[in-house]
This record gives sequence, structure tokens and C-alpha cells, in this order.
Amino acid sequence: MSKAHSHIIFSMLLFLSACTGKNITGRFYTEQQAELDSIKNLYGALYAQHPFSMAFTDKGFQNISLDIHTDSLTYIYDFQVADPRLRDTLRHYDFALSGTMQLIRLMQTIKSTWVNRFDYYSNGKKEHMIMISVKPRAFKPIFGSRKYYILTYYAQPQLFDEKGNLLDRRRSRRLRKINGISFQRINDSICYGISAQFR
Amino acid sequence: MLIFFVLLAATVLSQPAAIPGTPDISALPVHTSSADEAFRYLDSIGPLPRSKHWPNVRPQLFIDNIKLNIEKPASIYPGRETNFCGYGAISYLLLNDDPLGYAKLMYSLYTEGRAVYRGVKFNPSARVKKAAGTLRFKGVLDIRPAEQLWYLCLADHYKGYLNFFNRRYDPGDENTMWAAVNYAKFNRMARQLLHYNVKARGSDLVRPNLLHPDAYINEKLQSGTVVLYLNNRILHKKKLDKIKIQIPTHYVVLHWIYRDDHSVTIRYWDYGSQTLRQVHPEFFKRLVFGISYCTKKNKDE
Repeated sequence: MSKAHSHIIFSMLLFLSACTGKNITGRFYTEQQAELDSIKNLYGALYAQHPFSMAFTDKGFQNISLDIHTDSLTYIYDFQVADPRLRDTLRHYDFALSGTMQLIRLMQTIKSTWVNRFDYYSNGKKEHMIMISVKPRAFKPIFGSRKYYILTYYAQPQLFDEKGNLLDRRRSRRLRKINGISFQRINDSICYGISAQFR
Repeated sequence: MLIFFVLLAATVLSQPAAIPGTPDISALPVHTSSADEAFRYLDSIGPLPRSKHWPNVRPQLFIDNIKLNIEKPASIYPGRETNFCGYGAISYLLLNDDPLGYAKLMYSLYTEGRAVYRGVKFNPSARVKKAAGTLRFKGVLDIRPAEQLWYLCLADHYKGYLNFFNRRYDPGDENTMWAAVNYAKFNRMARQLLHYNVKARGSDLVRPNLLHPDAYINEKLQSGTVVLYLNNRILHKKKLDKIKIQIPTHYVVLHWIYRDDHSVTIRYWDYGSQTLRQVHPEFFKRLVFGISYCTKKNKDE
């Protein structure tokens, strides 16, 4: 093998290793803070009226999967954003139409794939957080799967170790894992993690 | 081979039409026992002392959880992101059919650390006994120690080929292949634990050879209970990438199915509540990998 060939192969390997998606960091939050916080606040307000979660299921961010929870049933709908049945359904369930459509637009703007409320229990007491998944704008690795940012907004300040890892509970050094992923501190009540699945 | 097993196990809608009366699974005829019998039994055993076998399961929470499950079988919750959905479907059917048997089984497991139910001897491992009551961030399963105990027992006892490389429980294994349920294992559990005859169509890799699966399922629902083995990767999409491998990973107990020219509407139980969903008929065909048709056994069977 000539020296030139070796250089080409080495450069290609370097390029491929750079495309591993490891450059996902908490910096993303500061860059998109206004939109992310708006999604969290808007979703929280809409959820208080009607429990639901919303996901985008296509790369073009035009197809929505809407889970509407009632006391007796969970209804799962799939719509295109432009489909008039989406608005009809939101009206049918007495959703705030303009707020929900604004949430959809915000999610499209920052490529947010999923927003959901997550209940958990601390010392037997029910707590909740809001989870927002975002598709990173970085390249998808050639030999790997796509990764997603998962942001969690807690209602209370959380515990972290000196490296900023989210801890499981007081007087514990064990890391908290949710859906198999561990989380890093952004501030006292907001964390981020990286996952191969957006929900 | 390893990749094959790992891959195997990795786990056009419109508004629904008006729903006619949905058959209630608990209203199916001839139950093995009743909820009243189960409550009378639980009342008769008196206060439960703390178990030496299950160090992290507090007795009052355990009993409260059992009572809740008997009163509202549909509320049982196998946990977020666990591989317990198959065990959840089995438990849901068991609770609807034989609540007294369930109460006795759980009492025996808690007090003696082992139990026999319909000839199946449960003798859970020490690792599982230590883990029950400690699972967290699984939703409401966090505060349901009896359910944690039971799902862990089932996963510990029943093994299929998907569990070949991970047979001993380690913390976190409720989300891994240790807890996975292949279709043959599911049907084996159903035949052994439920008072049902089980007729299964489909497999882990190949869909049932049916021109109109919805019509077949609807026909079976008229005379029994149907559990569907579904490809949850397309039912509940979690990645934006194009799905290349079609494999089933999820079990649901079907309550109702309706077909019109454009869609198939299904109402099913999974994860603590009933869900109503409408899909395109072709999509429905791609979704269903297994159909388990369960009919009540005669008393002499």
C-alpha cells in the first residue's frame, strides 16, 4: 500500500470516528433555552387541562402521534400537522387550540421529537417531571444509530455528585437512571441525557 | 448468532368511529373464583408479619397492592421501559379469572418465599428476592411491591431462548434480555398458569398466514379471550430512522376490534389502562405477529 493510500484511509477513519455523535452536550440547552423553556411551560399548562403526550414520528416533522389520556381510556391518534382532523380532534377534547398549535410549531422549530410528563415516586410521594426529546442537528453516525437529547425538567432541585451526575437519592452515590440512561446537570432542576430512542 | 438473538429481542390514523358496547373481559362467563372470595381470604389471614424472604417488601404495601389488583385488574402496571409486558398480560388474565388463586399464591410467596400454583413450583432466586421492592422510575410500579415481586418471579422462573445469554438477575435486568418473553414462552406460561386452553397462531419472526387477520381475530373474540403479539416498533415508534427489522416485542390483551373500509380499530389492555387505536388495515397486518386464542377449560380438564 502506498503512502498516499495510507493517508487517505487514515483520513477516512478519522472522519468516521468524528461522526459518532459524541459531541452532544448540555451546551445545546443554552443555545435553545428560550424555545425549550417555552415548550416546557406551554406543555405544562396544556397538560393541566388535559393529560396528553405528543411525538413527531417522521424526519420531516409533519406527522404527529398524539396520546390523549382520559380516566377510562388512552386514545392514540396519528395525524399530519396540516390534516384538519387534528384540529377537529383537539376541539373535540376541548384542548386550547391556539396553544396546542403553538406547541407543535415550537417543537418543529427545534426538532423536538417528544414531550411527555413522567410521574415518579420519591419516598412514596408522587412527583413529576417533564421530558423533552430533541433530534440533534449533528450528522447521524454512519456506523451507528441516531442519538437524541433527553431534557428533564424537575419540579424540585435535584442532587448531583461533584461531576454533575444526577444521583439516585439522598445519602446515595448511585446514579439515577431513567429508561436506562443517566443524566447530567444543567442547573439544579434541569438535566440532560443522551438516548438511542426519543421515548 | 449473538447478533441474531440481540436483534431478535430488541424490541394512518383518523378519528375513531363510534364504539359499540365493548365486551368486558371480567364479564366473560365461568370464572375459576371471584374477587369476593379473594377478599374474604385476605381478611381471614390477619395482619401480615414482615417477610424474611423479601427484605425490601413491606407487608402493608404488599397487601394493599394485592387488594388493588384484585379490585381493579386493569390497573396493574408492568412498568416503564421494562420487558414485563408479557408477564403483565398473563397476570391481567389470571386476575380476571382466578383472583382467589392469585391471592393464595402471593401470600405463599411472601410468607414462605416459594409457592405452587396449578402444579408450577415457584422458588425465586435470592437475587430476585432482594430486588423486589427496589425498582424505581418505572412509573406507578415504583410503589407496587407485590407486582414487582410477581413479575420478577415470573421472569426468574420461565426461560426461553431469548434469555439464553442472561439467565441470572442483576440490578437493571428488568429492562434487558433477562426479562424478555418470546412467543413460545408466553404461550407456555398461559397454558400452565391460566385455566385456559390456548391456541396460538404466529411466531417470533413470521406473521400468521391469514388473509384477513382482523376477521379471524374478531371471530375468536366472540368465544374467548385474545392476546396479540405486536410489533411495538411501529405501533409506538421510538426512533425516526426507517425500521429495517420487523420483530414483535409487545403483548396486549385485546378487548374489541372493528373493521371498516379504511381502518381497523382496536381496543386493548396494556400497561395499566385500555387504549383505543385506529390503524390502516395493511398496517394492522404488519403489526400482528401472534394471536393467542384462550378459551376457558372445563372443570374436568
